[in-house]
Amino acid sequence: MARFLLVRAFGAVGVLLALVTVVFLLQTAVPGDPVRASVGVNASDEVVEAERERLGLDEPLPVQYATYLGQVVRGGFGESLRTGRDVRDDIGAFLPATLELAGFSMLLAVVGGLLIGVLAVVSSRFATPARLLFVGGASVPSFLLALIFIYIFYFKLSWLPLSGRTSVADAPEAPTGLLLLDSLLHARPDVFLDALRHLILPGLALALVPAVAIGRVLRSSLIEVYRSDYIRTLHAKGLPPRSVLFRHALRNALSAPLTMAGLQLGLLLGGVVIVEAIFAWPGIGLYLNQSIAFSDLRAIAGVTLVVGAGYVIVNTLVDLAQAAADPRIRL
Amino acid sequence: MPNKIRTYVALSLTAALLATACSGGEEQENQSVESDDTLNIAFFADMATADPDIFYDIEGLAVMQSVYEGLLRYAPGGTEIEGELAESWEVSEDGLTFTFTLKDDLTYADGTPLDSEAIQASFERRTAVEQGPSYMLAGVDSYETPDPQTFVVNLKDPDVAFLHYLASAWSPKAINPTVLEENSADLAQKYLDTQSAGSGPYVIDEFTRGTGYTLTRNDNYWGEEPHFSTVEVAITPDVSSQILALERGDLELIPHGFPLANLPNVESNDDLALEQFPSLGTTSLYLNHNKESLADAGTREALIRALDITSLVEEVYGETAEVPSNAYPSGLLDPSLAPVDYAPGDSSDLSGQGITLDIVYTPDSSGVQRRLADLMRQRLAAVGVDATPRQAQLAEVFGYRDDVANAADIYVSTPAPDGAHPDTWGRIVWYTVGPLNFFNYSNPEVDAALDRGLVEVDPEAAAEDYAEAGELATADWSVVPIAYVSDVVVAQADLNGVEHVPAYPWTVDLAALSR
Repeated sequence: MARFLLVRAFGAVGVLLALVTVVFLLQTAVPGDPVRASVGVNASDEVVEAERERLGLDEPLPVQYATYLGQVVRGGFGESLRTGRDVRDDIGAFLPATLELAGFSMLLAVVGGLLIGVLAVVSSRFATPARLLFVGGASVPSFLLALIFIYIFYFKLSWLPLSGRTSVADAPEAPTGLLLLDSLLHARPDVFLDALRHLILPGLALALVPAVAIGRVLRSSLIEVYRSDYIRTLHAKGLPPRSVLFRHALRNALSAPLTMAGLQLGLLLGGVVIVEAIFAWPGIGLYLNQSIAFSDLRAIAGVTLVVGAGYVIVNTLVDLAQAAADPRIRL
Repeated sequence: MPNKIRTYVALSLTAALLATACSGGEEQENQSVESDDTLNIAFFADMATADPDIFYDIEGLAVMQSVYEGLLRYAPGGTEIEGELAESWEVSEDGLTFTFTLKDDLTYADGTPLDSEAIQASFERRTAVEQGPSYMLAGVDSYETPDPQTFVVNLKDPDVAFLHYLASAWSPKAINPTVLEENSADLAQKYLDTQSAGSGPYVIDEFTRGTGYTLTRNDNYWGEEPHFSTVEVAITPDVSSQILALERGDLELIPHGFPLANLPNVESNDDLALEQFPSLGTTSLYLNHNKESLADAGTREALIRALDITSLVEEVYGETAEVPSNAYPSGLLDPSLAPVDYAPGDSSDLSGQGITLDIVYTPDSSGVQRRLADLMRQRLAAVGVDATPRQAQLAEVFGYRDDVANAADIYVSTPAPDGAHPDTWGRIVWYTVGPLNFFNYSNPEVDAALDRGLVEVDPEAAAEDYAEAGELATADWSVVPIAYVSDVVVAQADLNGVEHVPAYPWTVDLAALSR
């Protein structure tokens, strides 16, 4: 286990270093003048040049790279051209909202995926709807789902709010920045329920596609496990079907869905950019969206690195979970 | 507890929680919603900052105009300058000295008196901060404050656009000297990044990036009290979401970016009202004369005439824009001066030249510039010119000046000058080093005419200089204004007092609104 974690840590450093380099090269390769765009269209040349010098963008490329690498090693990502603040601080302000949304969506996706996958195998009545869901759910992009959900649940039914994280003016913002958790820590059930209401639509929009993917893999995996000799033996011994499923078959079938969940979390983080824009969710997707419009490459790079690091961590956790679920897997 | 019962209990609790979450809407609405006293609006994007000496954007102007005030402003609906903090002003005969007399009993939001020394400190801060809008005071030689109500600005050289800079949306604003003194280490930049220190009808109560801003009424406001005690600004990047919220009554108005294709729905909706205001925004085609295919002015003219500008503008904008009468944005110069004529002409020569063009446009929420570029492609194809529209970010476009040979062939943009004076247009789009002169257009005669106009204190003589600059630039067919674009505001039908100033794009006066 320790060796596995060590190897993974070194691998993660390599991946992140490669990301830093690629992102930096992209910054320098993209044509244009983001400094002028950031200081304003009518700013004088003197002001633009002064700003360029202040940001160190007039230095030779190797110097800029070394400076940038040094900043990243120290946990900073440089100053955002758009907000004028350290990108690290900006990400720190926006990241909790994304973590909450992504966590909630993955919870929905995993629970939903498990349900769909299991029902598709054990319930003959659900088999056909499940197949339809597998085809339909996989082909509907999250932004379209978001618009459909908004139209039905906000515009037509008025059940759920359209945008933002909460409507409560004095909602607690600390200590974690995760509103559901903070509201519980501050004993504010009103904020908890309000935050939950705001989470449902973007959460569902993000969760459906991964849920279908997880469900589909679980179904295949379960079918394969059910064909095994030891399952037949368990049935022959008279073990109730529920016990066979939950105590034996499911555990052995979880490896592939767990891998899929890890992959889907990465894809989900990509989908966050669009879904957060539609639901005005104040997370790093929205931050990235606005930064792209300003060609704020330091902000874009910072978000890329954080998401990249998150992806590495999640996949490591998935590997650990796989090993815990399936004793045949050794780390 | 047996497994079955445990399962049922868990399922029941989950269902109850979700049901409460979904059905709590009305109750929650009642808690958070806002009474008749709150105005709800949305921005497509965050304000980069709330610092009036750094802020140099359009989205967010409504906030800045509500919390800060300058010496002058434009009267609603036109380009006439009126006093905001200044009661009156005088300009010396040589055009070098501007003397402003402040209104009586002016105060900042915290009650600090607003006097001439405070104005001077604010003006000096703008220069010291040295960001985008600092250019407006670059020509200042010195300030004088002979008494608390008199503020004098001495210029190094005459500048006939100076009063317009002071009336501009991004003009130097009066900033509370107490805040400047208490935060002098960084020129109060950290403080003013998210907080206000102005004298306007509102103050910034909350500024949460990515989420929105709350403005509350300034209880010490020296002027007329605004109707709404609170203004909630929500960051809502998606225009479809804004429209649904407007139709549901959760938003009071959408001041810009409303898709033109959706306007018929508004006209048929009794709950909504559509208002259209003239603006200085002028859609222009920048033709890259550095490219071989566009090097000849005759070819550039033939291309423009092949587009049939009148029908193009009508097809893209409908009734929300009109073809320019002269080389300047609407209302900047007598329409009879520097006239433009885009009558379709003979374009047969174009077809044999094998011209291929890339047409670049920057994204806008209404999608109108994309549609314009698409239609241009169609029309140019009809005369044998192969054009390809492409979207680009603003940063890319600002890089064109450094590499015009590899820049786009045509750039479609809708710039607006900072003020309602011809110099504020000519000097940015035609002048050799103009900041919006994307393809390094240069005509020494145009530069000379603009320079003469800037220091000419006789208004008629100055107008002639600017007319000459406009005529010369028009004849070069390098920067071609094709549409005077209106600002389209869609609001709840019961919202009154929607006031707009042509020189303040995408902005309505929040303090003038009532229900």
